[in-house]
This record gives sequence, C-alpha cells and structure tokens, in this order.
Amino acid sequence: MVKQHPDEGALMRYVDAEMGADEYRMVEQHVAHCAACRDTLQRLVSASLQAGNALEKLSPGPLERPDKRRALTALTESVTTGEQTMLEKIKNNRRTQRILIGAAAFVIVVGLFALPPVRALASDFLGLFRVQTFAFVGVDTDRLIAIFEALGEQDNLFMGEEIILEEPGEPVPVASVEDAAAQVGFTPRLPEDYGLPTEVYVTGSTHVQYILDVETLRAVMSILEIDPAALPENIDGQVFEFTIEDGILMFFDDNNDRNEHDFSILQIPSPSASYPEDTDITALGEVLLRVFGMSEREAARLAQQIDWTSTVVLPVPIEIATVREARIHGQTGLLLETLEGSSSALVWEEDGIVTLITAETSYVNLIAVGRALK
Amino acid sequence: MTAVSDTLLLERFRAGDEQSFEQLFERHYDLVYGVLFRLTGTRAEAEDLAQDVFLKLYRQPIRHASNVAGWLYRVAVNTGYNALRANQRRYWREQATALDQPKPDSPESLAARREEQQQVRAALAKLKPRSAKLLILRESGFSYDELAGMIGVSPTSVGTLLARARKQFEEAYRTMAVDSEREEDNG
Repeated sequence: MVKQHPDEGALMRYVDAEMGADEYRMVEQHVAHCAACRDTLQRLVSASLQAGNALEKLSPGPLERPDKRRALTALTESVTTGEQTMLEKIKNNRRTQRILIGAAAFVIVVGLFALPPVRALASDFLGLFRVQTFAFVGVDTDRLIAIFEALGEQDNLFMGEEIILEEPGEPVPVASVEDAAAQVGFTPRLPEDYGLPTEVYVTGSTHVQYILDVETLRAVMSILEIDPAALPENIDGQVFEFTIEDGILMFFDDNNDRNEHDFSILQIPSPSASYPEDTDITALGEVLLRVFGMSEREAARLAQQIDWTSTVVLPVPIEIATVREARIHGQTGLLLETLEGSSSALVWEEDGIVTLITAETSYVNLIAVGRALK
Repeated sequence: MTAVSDTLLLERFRAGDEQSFEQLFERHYDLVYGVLFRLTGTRAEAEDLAQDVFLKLYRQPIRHASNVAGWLYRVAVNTGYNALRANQRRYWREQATALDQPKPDSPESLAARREEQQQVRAALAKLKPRSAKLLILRESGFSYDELAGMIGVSPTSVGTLLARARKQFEEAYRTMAVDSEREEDNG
C-alpha cells in the first residue's frame, strides 16, 4: 500500500484511466484503505459523471454528423476564390493597415494594463493612469505569425480572456463640430487653414476588461524561446481594465479635386487603464518587449526607462510600416508610414486629449496638419 | 502499410503537394468539426468555423510542424470557444428583448434538447476559458498527453486542471438548472 496520499490530479488520472498499470494498482490499494482519498475519489467521480453526461448532450445528433466531402468542396472553392487570412489582409489592405496603426495603441494597452474586477472597487486597486506618452517597438511579421500561431488564432493578440463591458458601436454622424462638442463634453481642436471638416462623427466609448492568462503567455514565450522565469509572480488571472471615452472623428478634404488627399482627425480624452496595485508592471512590460522581439538586455534597459504608468508602447510591424518620433506643440508623438506610402498616421497626447491623424496617402503632411491644430 | 505522419504530410504540402493537404483534411476534419459543433450547436456554424480552421492551416502552414493535430485542435477549440462566448452574449440579449414574443413552433423533443444544450453551453461560458476548452477537448476523446500539447501545460498538470474544471462545471451547471426552474415557476 502507498503511504503517501495521491494528490487530486493523480486521482483524476485514476478515474480517467490515464495512468500506467503499476501506478493504477498502487492508487487502487491506497484508496481501499484510506477513507479521505475515497471521499475525494467519490467527489471526482461524481463531478466527472455529471460533466460527462451534460457534455454528452452537445454531441452532434444523427442529422448533424460531419459531411467531409461537402466540406472539402467548400474549402477548395474558398481557396480558389482567394479569400484572405487576417494577416494577408493586414499586409495587402491599405485601410486595414491604417486601422492597424490606429488600433495598435489600443491593442498594446489592453494587452498590458487594466483594472481589478468589480469586487475590488474599494481598496486593492490604485494603479490607474492615463496615457500621456507613446513609444514604439518594431516587430517583424514572422514573429507576429509565431505569436498568432501560439495563441491558436490569427486575429487576436491578447494573452487572456477579453470581457467587453461596453462596445463602442459604429460612429454616429452629427451635423457639426459644435454638436459633437456638446455631446462629448470637450471642444476639438481644428487645423487652421484646412477649412471645416466635411463629415463629423461621435465615436462611442469602450470599456474592456482583460484577465491575464499566464499559461497562454507562457506558451507564447516558450514558442519564442523566452525563459518563462522572466514573468513576475502572482499575475495569473489578474484583471486589467481599459476605458476609452466618447471621441470626435472628423474627415477633411485637403484638396477638393483629389480624394486621395483626404485625411481624418480623431480626438479622444486620454484613455485610462488600470491594474491591481501589486502588479509588477515594469517586469510585465519587459516580458512584452521581449515577446515583440527585443533582446533580453535591450528589453531590460528600455523597460526601466519607460514610465509604464503613462506610456503606450505600439508594436509596429517593420515589414509594413516605418515609425519615427515627431514633435507637436512640444509633445513627442509618433509618425507611422506604410512602406509603400499608401497610408500614414500621427498620434500624440496633449492636454489630456489623444489625437490621431490618418491619411490614405503620404502626400498629406501630417506633421503640418498636427501643428496647425488650434 | 504505415500511415504517413502529419508532419510529413504538412512538409509535402508546403513543398506544393495539394493532395497531402487533402489527406490532413481527411484525417482531422471529423474531430475538428465535432469540437466546433459541441461549442456552437449548429451544423452551419460548425462547418463555417471548421473551414476557417483548415483555411488557416492552408494559408499559413505552421512552421513548428511536430504536432499538427495539436495545433489544429487548439485553433478549433479557441475558435469555437470565442463563438460560444459571442453566441451566449447574443442569446442573453435576445432573451432580454424578446420576453413577450411567442416562441417559434418546434417539435417538443427538439425544443427540449435545444434548451438542455443551451444550459450546458451557458455553464461552459461561465467557466475560465482554459477549463471550458479542456472539458470540450476531453469530451471529444483526447488523451491527457494530447490535451497537454493543445493547451500548453505539462501532462502531469492535466489531471489537476481537469478535476478543477469538472468541479467548476458541476457548480455552474447546477446554478443554471436552478435558475431555469425558477424561471419556469415564475413563467
């Protein structure tokens, strides 16, 4: 008889017949003489039976069995009609590239920072901050693919569970800048000498929670050959929260006779993010920099330099876009341009407002537009 | 005759042999579909998502090809789980807005089965993502070693994680059943 009690995992393997014959016999003998382990076993059997019976109900019925031949035909058609993957769309689609650039800030912030759950509204949460600075890190497309593969899905970079508490919805058109200002509670800056916007929209607020899943993060790190020991302790299941308030989106026609000279300006109050007080944000940030391809030394150095309580780090795919810093009204922003010049974006924070200017071409001098904002 | 390994098939496909891809499809489609059907509950959605899964493999053949099956089922369960969560959100929205509307006619046994399935899926949606995925994959017939590869944990932790997942499911499912009975009593 085995004197040491088998742990719950071993008993579960026993129930599921997932152990070798010798171990099976030892557990069997132990359980025969140990009332405590028999109780645990009974509980595990009961939970397994209940789960098994319930889940069995989800199996396909006689009319729902797979039709492989039909599925293969459909797949072949889909392949030959040239449907694209998310990554191919990102690579090939100008609009997506622009959105990618614009959304990168969102991605990275929600990937890194957030709030404690509702239960912690009271005391254990203090790490609230607002975005004040933008930084960037170049990341190659192969690496992005490896991350997507590790996550098992190509359109999601988050290493945890996403809970959308408030969806932004579609931007709502409004009649004028004044109407938009009345709705959102701040007056947007307009670029002097560029005329009035041709279209004005109010963009909805977004409120998202992310629950960090350390196992997934470890899987990603393992694929990228990063030592999981770099992860700070006690971060599994920690909840990060990210809030974007209502904003104003304006479209301008820079040159009336050529549509491709249009540009847009989005202004939103600086997004806020928060996270549990005991989170080692610098250590977590360092891991993220390494996930995006920095060497251990480089990531450690940069992680110490960045103020993680106010900085958004954008991962910029180096095969798609170039990025450089730009000074706007004394603030440091980022200017991103796709390599073939099909779109560009400029983002910075000023007086509590994040401004994102985008254009479908590189003909528009975004820095000049940014500096003209009054 | 020895079956050609998944890894070799994928290598051949990457070298341009489309038939090797078809063999991979033949080998794994039923299980991928089964995982997705359990999570979505409709043939059409399960077929669409299964197609997405194989398209991903077709468009971006994975480079670490030592465990093609593990990759396929991981992608399938992640895709299906996302659909499950989205479907649950939609279900509750519709329930909230359609209380006074008459329910569509359907044979009673079919309606009862759908209702039971909905309760199981609602309970799954309440679990931690990893727990829900583990339960579905185990129910689909995978061994502990295979599960470990799919969800990225060591094989020795699978027992503990499954024990926890089943307990969580039992509690969530019981709560769903109680809530459902209460609704019927009130209705």
